[in-house]
Amino acid sequence: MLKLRQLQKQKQEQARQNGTIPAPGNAPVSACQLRLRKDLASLDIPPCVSIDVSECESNSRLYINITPDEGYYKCGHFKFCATFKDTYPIEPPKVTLLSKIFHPNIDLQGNVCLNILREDWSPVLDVQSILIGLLMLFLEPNATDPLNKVAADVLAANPHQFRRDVATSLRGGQVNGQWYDRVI
Amino acid sequence: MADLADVSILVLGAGGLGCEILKNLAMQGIPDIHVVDMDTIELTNLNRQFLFRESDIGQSKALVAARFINEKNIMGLGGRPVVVTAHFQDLTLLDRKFIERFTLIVSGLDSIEARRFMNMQLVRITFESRFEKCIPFIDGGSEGLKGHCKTIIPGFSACYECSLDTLPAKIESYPLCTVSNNPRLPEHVIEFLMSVQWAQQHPDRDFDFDSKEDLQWLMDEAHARARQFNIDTSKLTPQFVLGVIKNIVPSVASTNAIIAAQCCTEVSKLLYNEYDIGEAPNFLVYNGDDGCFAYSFVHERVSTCLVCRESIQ
Repeated sequence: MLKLRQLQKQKQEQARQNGTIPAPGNAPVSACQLRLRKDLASLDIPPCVSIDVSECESNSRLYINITPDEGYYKCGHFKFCATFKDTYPIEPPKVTLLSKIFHPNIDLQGNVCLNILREDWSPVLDVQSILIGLLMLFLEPNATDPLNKVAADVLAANPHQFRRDVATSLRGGQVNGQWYDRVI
Repeated sequence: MADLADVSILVLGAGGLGCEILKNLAMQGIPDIHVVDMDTIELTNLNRQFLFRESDIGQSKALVAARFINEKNIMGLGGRPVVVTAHFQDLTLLDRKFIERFTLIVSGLDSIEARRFMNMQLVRITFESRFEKCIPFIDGGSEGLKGHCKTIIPGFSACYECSLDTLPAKIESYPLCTVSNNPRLPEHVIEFLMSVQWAQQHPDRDFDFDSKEDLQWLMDEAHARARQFNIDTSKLTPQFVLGVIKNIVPSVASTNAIIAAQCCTEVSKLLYNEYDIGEAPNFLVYNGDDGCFAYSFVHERVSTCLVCRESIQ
């Protein structure tokens, strides 16, 4: 181990000469929390999104509020909860919508069908990618691979009807026998 | 040689890789070896974890492995007997002072979290001691016919966290829409039950993999759902279901042997000053799946790494 010890000495010598001391760039927190902090620091949030970080440190949870400024869901207020496990970013966070919505890719329990949250997740993706993914769901709901089949069928068969149904649901109305949460 | 007689090595994990690593280090004559493992021995371990016998089932892996090697009375470097000390516990609860006393750490773990924990501890030891202390970390990993060996010199070469982005996604998962609306495979059925239906029926608690009742719930529901979607239920045996939810990949004894041999070679190179720090290829990937392939390369430090970047004060 002589070689390594010599290198260590060199490094210490260098530090003394430069008057700089390499120091740890982090406090004792988990690697998952570190990564989350980095994600949050580099966020570029569009005006229609806001993020609540009050539970980020205590239980690794983010609340993502989205108010789409165009599309079928314009002006609705949607609150998502993203829960990060210690395995983040190896595994994606679990993201659920907290209100009931009429949407082809989100079911009535709030489960979200978004490829990057499951089969296409990769550790290089971050909170920003998730924000963009969620926004996309509102701008372009996708009827071809649905989670809420009823909503998808309406969207595929009659986009005008779908627009009316969404508007009703956003106001807390009833669509196909289901009551929805008022989010407008 | 007085220096070498003082070497002490901590081995993380006493499973498939751990048994091989412990055997290699003991035969190399490392006098002071410690091993940590929180697992107990199961019948299915015995084909490859050769330090254990059928009568050991249920006992601590660390304790039994240490006893096996100590009973051989091996003479080590500098005329000191090889002594293995066991720690039957969770390694993330190890005391920092305890970790600091080792010359080197070798791991044969199956968990990314445990590796990230140890990596972070070691990088901090280097930085906080202002490079006074530096404990190399040699990380072995094996899964099926594939494996890796990463030699990490905290503060000098790429750390485990630097390489995090190169890891494959951990679990094979399926689109949620497929598993809820058009399940075609028994795996889809199980995935739906675990990720959607469990939370609906039991919002108050997580699925308990060790609970007979929970597993029975899963078996019953899986059969019912498979029948509903005309999926062949003959594959849905308890073994299959467990394999899917725990993401079990069969362990291969020869992969373990190859990876452990490389880890212990790295140990020797470091101890005998044959290792070119910062220049030598520090990461090795082995793939026995697709022909016979092994490749080693220099993984550079990532300047933005959350764990090992140096902030100059």
